[in-house]
Amino acid sequence: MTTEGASLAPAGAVAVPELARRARSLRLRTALFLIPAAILGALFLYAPLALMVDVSLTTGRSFLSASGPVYALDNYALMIERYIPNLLVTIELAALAMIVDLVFGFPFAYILVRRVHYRDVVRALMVFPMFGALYVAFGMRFLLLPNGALGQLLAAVGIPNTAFLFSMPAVVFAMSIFTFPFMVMSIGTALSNVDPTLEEAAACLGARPWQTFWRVILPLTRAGVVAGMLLVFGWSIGVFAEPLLLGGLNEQRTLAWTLYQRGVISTDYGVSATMGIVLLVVAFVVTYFSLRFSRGALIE
Amino acid sequence: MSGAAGAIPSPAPTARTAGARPRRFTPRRVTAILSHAYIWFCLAIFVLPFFALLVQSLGSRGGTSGIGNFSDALGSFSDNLFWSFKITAAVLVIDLLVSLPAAYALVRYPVPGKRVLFSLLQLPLYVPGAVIGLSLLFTYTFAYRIESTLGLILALAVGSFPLMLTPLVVAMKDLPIVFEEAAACLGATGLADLPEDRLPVDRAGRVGRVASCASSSSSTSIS
Repeated sequence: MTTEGASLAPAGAVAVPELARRARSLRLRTALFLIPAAILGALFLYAPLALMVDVSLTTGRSFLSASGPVYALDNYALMIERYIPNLLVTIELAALAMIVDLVFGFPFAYILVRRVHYRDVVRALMVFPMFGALYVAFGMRFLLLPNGALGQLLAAVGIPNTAFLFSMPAVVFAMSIFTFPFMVMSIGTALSNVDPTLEEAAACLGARPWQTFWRVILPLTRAGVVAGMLLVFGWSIGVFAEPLLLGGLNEQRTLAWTLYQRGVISTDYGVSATMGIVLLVVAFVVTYFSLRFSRGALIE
Repeated sequence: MSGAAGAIPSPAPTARTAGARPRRFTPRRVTAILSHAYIWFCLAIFVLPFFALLVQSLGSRGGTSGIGNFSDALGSFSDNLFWSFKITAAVLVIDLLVSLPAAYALVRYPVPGKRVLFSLLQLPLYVPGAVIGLSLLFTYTFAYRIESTLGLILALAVGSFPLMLTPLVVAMKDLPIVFEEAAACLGATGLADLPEDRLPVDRAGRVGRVASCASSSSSTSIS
């Protein structure tokens, strides 16, 4: 599906030098189109990340010292000894947010694609959480405070609001709200590519709704579902604001927040860079599986 | 009773002839109502935190209340607000200028290693903001001591760039190539048919622009 590829096809009709000139021009144009993105990524993502790998192998603040950095694997040993629970809490929160988003996001996406005619209104309102996890977390905090709407509601049914405010459910709930649009967009895109007549055919052949869902809809939308799950998980492993504002001591151990504390507050750059590398590895794994499961749905 | 015996026997009463009203709550209708209720319930939850912030901002705190809070915010913090808008607008423009040609090349041209390239361009989406922020701090603040507004804008653009790129790729994939061929036949050059043919039909790309705008306006870790 390439413009130039199509025009190059009738080889007999075009002279060979002309073909070579066109091929050269095509390569040049491709490079020109991709170079800005490559430069931006190289300067502001790949090079800094490479430096972070280097910093993660130095002790304390030694990479800033005039006498040169001191290389050691101490940071990685410390990571394994001391910070594995932090990594587990991070993964647990991300996994829970992903499950909540999937359970509530699939029906939402299905209804949105199949039954709702006011999709633009829904999409406009869905953008709200994307304006920031910090806003969502702050809003949730105000809601759950003793004088907040939800706090009073909980108190009315006999649940102390403090049982929910600084707890894991509050953090997961806020994280789910923030990442919900990503799950819905991903599943919605996959659903919109499924012909509704397939569902009607299944129903005509006597399939019950759950059978249609299990045997028709789910297999056909699997790529979108998996891509959505991995996208939500990927966004959630860097969770920062929600545990800080809504979580207890356990939730505040997330790796991104610990990284900030060790790197920016304690200025222990080596350890914080190591935590960054661990998060990066998780991100790489998620990206790899995301591409593998989507099977080149976007780029072929 | 004799009169009744001679009368024409009436047909068996059906729902229509018996004058019964059609059922208002059929299973299909109930499902439809529940579906819409579910959508609006979820939307209410989305908006709830922002509504709570709005209510809180209108309450009396520290000597000011209601509109006073907003006039204070717009007075003392107007520079901050303007700064946010300026940065977001700049990020949006850079994202668009970088994503549009990249998406076009990825979709239309035979790029070797296309999937690997696309995954590399999508990587910022999966790398946590705190990690990007820390790596930028190490590189530009400590190692090379370069700190500028343009640097901040470009760093934010990297973080939100995939949110623009992916919808543009989707939109361009769905865009039939015949439009471009028709434009070329009619004498349009590559640059001329971009604003007139490709951008007007790029609806999904708008989602990317909104997402990119939302992401860059709220990016705290990188800043």
